[in-house]
Amino acid sequence: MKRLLSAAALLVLVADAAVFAHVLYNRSGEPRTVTLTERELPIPYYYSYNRDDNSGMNLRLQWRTASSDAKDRYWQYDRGLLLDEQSFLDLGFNPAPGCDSLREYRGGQRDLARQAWVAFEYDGSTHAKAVAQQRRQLQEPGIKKEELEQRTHELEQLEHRDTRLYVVGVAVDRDELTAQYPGALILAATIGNRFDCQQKYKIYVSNLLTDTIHVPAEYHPLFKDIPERVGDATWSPAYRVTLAIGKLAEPWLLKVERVTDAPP
Amino acid sequence: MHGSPDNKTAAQQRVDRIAAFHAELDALEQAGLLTIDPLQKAAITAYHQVLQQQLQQRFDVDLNQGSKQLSRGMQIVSFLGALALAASVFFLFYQYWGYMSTVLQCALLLAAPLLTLGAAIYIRRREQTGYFAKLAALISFACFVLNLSMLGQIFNITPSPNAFLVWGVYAALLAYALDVRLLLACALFCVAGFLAAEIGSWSGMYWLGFGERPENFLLPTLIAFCVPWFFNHDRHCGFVSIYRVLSMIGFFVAVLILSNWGAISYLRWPASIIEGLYQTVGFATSAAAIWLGMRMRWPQVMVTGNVFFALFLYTKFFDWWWGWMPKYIFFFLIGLTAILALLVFKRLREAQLKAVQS
Repeated sequence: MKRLLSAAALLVLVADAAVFAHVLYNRSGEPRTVTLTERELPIPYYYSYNRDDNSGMNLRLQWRTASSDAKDRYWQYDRGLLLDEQSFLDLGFNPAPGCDSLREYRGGQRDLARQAWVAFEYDGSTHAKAVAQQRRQLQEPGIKKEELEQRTHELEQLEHRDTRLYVVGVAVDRDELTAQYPGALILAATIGNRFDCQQKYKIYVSNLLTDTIHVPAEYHPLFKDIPERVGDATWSPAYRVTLAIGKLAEPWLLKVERVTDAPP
Repeated sequence: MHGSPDNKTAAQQRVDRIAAFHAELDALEQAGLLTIDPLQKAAITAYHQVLQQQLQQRFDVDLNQGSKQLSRGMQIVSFLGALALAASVFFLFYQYWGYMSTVLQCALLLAAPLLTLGAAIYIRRREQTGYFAKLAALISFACFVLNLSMLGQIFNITPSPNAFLVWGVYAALLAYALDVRLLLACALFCVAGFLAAEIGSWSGMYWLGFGERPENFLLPTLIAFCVPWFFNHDRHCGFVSIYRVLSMIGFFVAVLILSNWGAISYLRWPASIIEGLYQTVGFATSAAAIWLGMRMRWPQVMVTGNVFFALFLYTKFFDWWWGWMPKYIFFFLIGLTAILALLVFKRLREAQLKAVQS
């Protein structure tokens, strides 16, 4: 009994030592940094409901993929990414069969989600293209009044409130992705085969493996009295956050600043 | 004392045998079939009383039926208490961790499993029954789960299946050290989860998707079932049953899912063929479990095999008949199969009785 209990105590110490070594290794050297705003790193909506039971705090990385169809009205919710054939096959996915035989295709033959690296572009040409696409959709002929109002609201959201962080590349090999997108923010994610018979090489980015960023206690006061975003037309980001990304692509919060002037 | 048992299971069996011996002795004396010299009887009674007291002090065995029932009650209460206290530890930390610096959070997370482990050791030395030490061990396990999961949150670490392995090993160490069956069950869940995740990763899937292919659980459950064959568990009351029953439940549930939903199999055959294959596997293995349970005298294996054989049979009946058959006939047929099963078991029982008599 004595030996087993000593082994148990040792296991706790070894496991924690392994975690701290992992963290130290990730944070060693010069990290890649990126400064985002409340648009990309909001406080999760469930935070206020949990406050009574959970005094901890985290921010949730908001991101999206670019539209692969200029006429798609709901591309923001798609999270799909259209690749070329080679990139698609390199991820280990099998393309969907033709649309005629897709119905007979069993669920089990579909590829399961797998882990990969995704590269992000922040407030770059992909976001500018998305805004331009939304503007074009606004000017389409024959739109009814309610639809026009809806599209105007969506454009306003996209320009001033929504995230400007877009997934632009994906690969199994992190170095390959870094070479392809130098300076880009690269994080681990789960991706899946969209299994679209029309866009055979389309994947979807399911989740980021580290999309919840813990906020240490010393930063909590900076997040107090954040104005309510719902229904506020003059809403603008209340804070700016600098994230560091370590050797193992695990992020941590480096700096938080309250923003009182216009958004960046 | 001669032939004294060296573990709680053997001690309880000895005490039960003594009680049965005295009851049968009284019955035979009342029937006039046996007469024992009063001096000899008094000597036997005195010997047994001393032995029972010693076993009671050493292993905390139950000396009568009432005491057994109370022990069962204490086990249930300590199980519920452990769950409640583990939840309390989680919520306590969540309630206040936001007010602490990262260093303090880490120190508390590291100290919690070690302190509760120390408490379990201390209580075990002072308290004979072991209930409170087991409770402390369960809380220590909860603290260790909290430790790794919260460190993961604090440092934004990518989720890893290795945590399940570490939790499983910790639970197993505490289970064997303090004889806690619930912790052995936790260890089995954690290690089986880890192995299933690893097996799933071989096919390229993200490890958290391991539940989407039930075949990932077949090998881990088979390994768990075989563990009691390779390691002697005489000193650990009820551990063998935990291994066998939980592994069988895991195995049969995976087969049952695949026998009804072949599309989620790794096999690239038509779904109907995969379902037929797993239905055959389900019937064959559950029947084999019944046979094995009877042959090896493992009642828990036989009962679990029975339950799943019936489940496989009834799901098949449902597939065949539910859609077109009037419900009263469907349930009548189910009832008839139960009667048929009773007749089969009666025959088997009679065969066993004859074998005993001969």
